[in-house]
Amino acid sequence: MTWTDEELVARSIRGDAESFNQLILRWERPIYALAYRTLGREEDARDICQETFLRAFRGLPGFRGQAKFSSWLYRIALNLCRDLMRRERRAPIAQPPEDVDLMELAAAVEPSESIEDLIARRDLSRVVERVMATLPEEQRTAIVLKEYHGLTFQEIADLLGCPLSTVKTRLYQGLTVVRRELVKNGAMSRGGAKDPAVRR
Amino acid sequence: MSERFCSYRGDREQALVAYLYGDVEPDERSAFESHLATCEACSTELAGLGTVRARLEQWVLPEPAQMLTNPMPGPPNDRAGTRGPWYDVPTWMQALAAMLFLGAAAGAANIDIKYNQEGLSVRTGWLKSVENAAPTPVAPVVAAGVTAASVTQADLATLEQTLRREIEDAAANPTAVRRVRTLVAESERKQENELALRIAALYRDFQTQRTADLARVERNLNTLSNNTGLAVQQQRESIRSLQVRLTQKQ
Repeated sequence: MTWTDEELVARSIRGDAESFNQLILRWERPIYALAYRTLGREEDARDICQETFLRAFRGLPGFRGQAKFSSWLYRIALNLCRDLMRRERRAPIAQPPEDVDLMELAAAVEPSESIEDLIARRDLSRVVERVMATLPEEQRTAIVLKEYHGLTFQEIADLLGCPLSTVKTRLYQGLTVVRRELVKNGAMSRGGAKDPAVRR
Repeated sequence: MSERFCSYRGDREQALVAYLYGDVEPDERSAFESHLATCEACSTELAGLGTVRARLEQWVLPEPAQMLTNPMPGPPNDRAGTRGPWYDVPTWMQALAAMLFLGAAAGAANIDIKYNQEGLSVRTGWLKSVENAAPTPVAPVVAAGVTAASVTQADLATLEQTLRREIEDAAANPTAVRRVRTLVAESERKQENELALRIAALYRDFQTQRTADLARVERNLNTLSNNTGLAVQQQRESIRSLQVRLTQKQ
């Protein structure tokens, strides 16, 4: 039987540790992805993920269900990311590009995908990561929550504590910057069509 | 499609974004669709933003080395329900259990750590009588001194056999070996990162020092050059004055 988040929360509050494990299992990857895309470093993202669930566990008795459990987790994670960035007074760091490891590539390649295609895909991923790292935090967070976590505009507005129109504006501005930078990096043409060559 | 410049009467940016993500009220949607049919600027921008979204999809995250509930990536058959019960325990619980175990083991092993004026001493022993034995101070280096008097040859032989048996058991268990290798690999990776950071810091310090030294050398050379110029000037003046005196005498 699959329990809803709210049911698992209620069971966790009653002391069922396994229910909280289920919640972690369900939400750790989205939280890790959110932290990684916000901070750009794997180790930091793992730490944030762990700290988020620890805080959630400690805060469970105070969770009244006024928001979705996932929104609550997102808020904790985003606050931790902000604290970390503020503490270290740094811009988000994109993973430094590494040399292509052919063995790793060979292991990861899908049967229908050539090595060249895979390298191009990885290059594009790195370009996107670099470009996203250049965005101001508000715009980046709005794009991450919308694009990768599928939140509605209203959910993002509630999460970030800003008007709905601000969320849309941040998204528009962020996407426009990303578009300009992708064109500059050769990852898309000015008109929007795909450009096969991606400059590293 | 005739308009090259947008004449949309609402908030164009908000409408574009809402339409792009399909997060829009039906009446707003139909109004904007009517506008799109005649506005080249908006339809072009919408297509461009659509491509941006397609590119954003390509951002693949690195697989985390370790997650809270996913201890270590194992071979496919490990994930197909043949895992041991320990694998079902979350990592954070495993870490907690390991700490408790180490604490208990330290207590059981009667480990005694003291730090005083004589330095740091670590004493181990399985017997209570060891408590009365004198610690082996090793100052100032950290070292472990085992009270040899309390440990017999038989104890050591038993311990050796136990350790050998445990190592053989562990070697015969491919899952354990794999986990150890993964841990070692992770540790090596961290050490490499640490080393790279230290080398980078060293290089930066070296460069800073080199720049400072070069500036100092340049400053000294300038001073030397000025002093030399001054001395040459004085020499010239002396020679000139001698020439003047010589001329006057003649």
